[in-house]
Amino acid sequence: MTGPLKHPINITGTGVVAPIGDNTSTCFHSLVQGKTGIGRIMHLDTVHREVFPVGEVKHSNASLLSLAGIDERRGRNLTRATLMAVIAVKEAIAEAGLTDVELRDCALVSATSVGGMDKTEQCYRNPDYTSLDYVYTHPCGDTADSICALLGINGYRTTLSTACSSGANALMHAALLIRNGIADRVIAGGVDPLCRFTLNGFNSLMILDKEHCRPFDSSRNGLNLGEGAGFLVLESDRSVKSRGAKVLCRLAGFSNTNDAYHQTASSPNGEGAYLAMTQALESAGLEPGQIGYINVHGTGTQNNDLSEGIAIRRVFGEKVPPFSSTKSLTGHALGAAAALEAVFSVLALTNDTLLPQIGFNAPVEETGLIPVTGATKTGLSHVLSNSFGFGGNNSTLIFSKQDGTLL
Amino acid sequence: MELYFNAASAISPLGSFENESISLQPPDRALGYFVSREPDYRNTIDKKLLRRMSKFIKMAVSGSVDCLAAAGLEQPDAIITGTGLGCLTDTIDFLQQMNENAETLLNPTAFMQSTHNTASGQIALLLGCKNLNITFSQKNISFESALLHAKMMLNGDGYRNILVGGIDEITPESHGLISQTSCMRKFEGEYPVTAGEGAAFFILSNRQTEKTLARFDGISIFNGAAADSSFSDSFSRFFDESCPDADHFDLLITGSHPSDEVYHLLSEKTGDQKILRFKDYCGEYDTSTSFALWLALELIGGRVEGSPGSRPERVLIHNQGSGPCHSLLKVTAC
Repeated sequence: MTGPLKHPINITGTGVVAPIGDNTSTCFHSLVQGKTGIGRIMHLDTVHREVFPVGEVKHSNASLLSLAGIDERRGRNLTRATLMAVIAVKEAIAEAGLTDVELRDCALVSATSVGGMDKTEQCYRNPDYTSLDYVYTHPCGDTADSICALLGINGYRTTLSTACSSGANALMHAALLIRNGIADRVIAGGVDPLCRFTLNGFNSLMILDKEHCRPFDSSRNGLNLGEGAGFLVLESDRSVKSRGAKVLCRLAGFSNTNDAYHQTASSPNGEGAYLAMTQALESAGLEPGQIGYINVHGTGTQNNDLSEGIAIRRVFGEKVPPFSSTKSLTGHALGAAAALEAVFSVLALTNDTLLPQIGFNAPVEETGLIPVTGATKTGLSHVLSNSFGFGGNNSTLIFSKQDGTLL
Repeated sequence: MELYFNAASAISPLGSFENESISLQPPDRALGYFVSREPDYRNTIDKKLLRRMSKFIKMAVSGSVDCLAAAGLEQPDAIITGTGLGCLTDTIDFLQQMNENAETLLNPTAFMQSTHNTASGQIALLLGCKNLNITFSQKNISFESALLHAKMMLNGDGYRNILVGGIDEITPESHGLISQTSCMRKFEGEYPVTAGEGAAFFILSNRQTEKTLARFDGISIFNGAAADSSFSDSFSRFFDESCPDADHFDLLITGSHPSDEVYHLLSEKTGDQKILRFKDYCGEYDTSTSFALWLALELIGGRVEGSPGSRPERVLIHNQGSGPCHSLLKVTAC
């Protein structure tokens, strides 16, 4: 049934905080029900509150602090990014069943596009804030350091920041750490908070939709921003055997390429995306026909969905696998998007379920691609997830069931 | 697998870019921090493109182009960068616009160029390079992470030459803020250290060529936060594991300061070899290890005037920042 996988990496835990739920089981429930997390802005302080719907995680920072189980004294200078990340990492650790001793030697690879920007933008040049605490939490690397300090993770830690594909590249770096014997266990994922900086940024680019986004629909008119955190526990075969861990599935293939076309726009022929998908398939030792579901990047912008659709046609021809954009439910969580969608892809695979999207009426004329609109039980062996970002950054991950034969 | 640095290029406060040989003279301190001595970018970047570019992007693109030319390469097999704070000029510009215009009528250019991977993306765009392109941002081990990723890729199939770089820029505003915190290590007195900036790029390859500058003998990262005993004991253990042959080095280039415990520990471990404090020449910034590596390659190549003693053959580079992580890099003449 499955092709030979070249060098798969075991996945033993997943954790997520998203606009559609505070953990993997509520998120999965929302995903199969097509229950959206996009709505009116509740927590972000912005003049655009009534204008743009967003996918907000439904908690204030105080509420996230308690959900993360962090003592208030230690929580004083934590950003929204760190709070969301800690919740997701804790869930992933619990599912993997890592003990405190095992956790101590783990590596942590995080990803973010703006990190502590939500705090920076509140404090910077604001006469009401005299504290310079935000200078400490502004760097992208702050979240990884804080997660490690709070949870007692003492291994190598780093952060990828490649805009909206960051989370996928974090998993790729983690996989190389395992393949090269540098780490046996890596907690990898990504996080991004909603903030005025990115909301205004995407508004200045005129690609925010004032309605709910409609990925891959002919009437699509832009994206809705989102936020959240997603983390996975990746392990070597040796680690899985030594502690008798249960393997959920495997990271079988990955690739990062560059579109080399424009700083923020995708090329008309989707070259970068085409190369990312093709090379990821090659790295997994799979044929396009073996992919059972694609979690597309699918932001809902004119440019992305056309370019990605063309790239998908180039890879899969007439036999495009069932696909959907879960951003129709979560919004676009930027540096966290690929990590959220990695967790969703694992959920789709392990539950043998095609995830539906909402907001679809008519296909894009040029590609004629029709996404999954109702949850469907089906046998899945391999799931592909796309994530693309500014700077022409294109990443593809492939997740496979454990029963794929090892070379 | 043996790896080699086959080209290097830096833009730094030392004015390293357009001179055949460089002179180890401390840069001008008039501003209270070091700024890069920037080359005439029109030699490497199209004038039309230059207008929109921040210093961060200009240093990165120009450094990359120069580095590739030195290696005689048109395109690398991957572009990997590290930056601690990313595109500060564009980030601050967009924050200010947002504040001043109450979130309306904002110019998108600064936002588009504010993501940390802008430099690596712009390099790819300029070269038409569709290969892997990623950026790390982990404070003072951002460049180290990039180098580690490149090393891991070169252990795999199909990769030969990877462009790796470290970039950070300083602005009057960012310096004003950071210097008021302990995010940046500053020293006054006999061995003053101030803030700095720069970009340094390298071609790391698994092939030795006639252009090879030195062999790369590895990188290790120490996490001081993990210390379960005293700092000196745990650092000592880490050092002995990473450098079992410590007494063979003939130069130690360090980012630590004589007031640091680790400075004396390193000096002892390396048998009191010559110590060069590289931050005297580039200042303190997150990706300053990339400057130190470039300096090591220049010293090995005998291209530094006024360098103390003879050309070193085996160089150990140590760096640390305000956080708990330290790094060690080893390079050897070949």
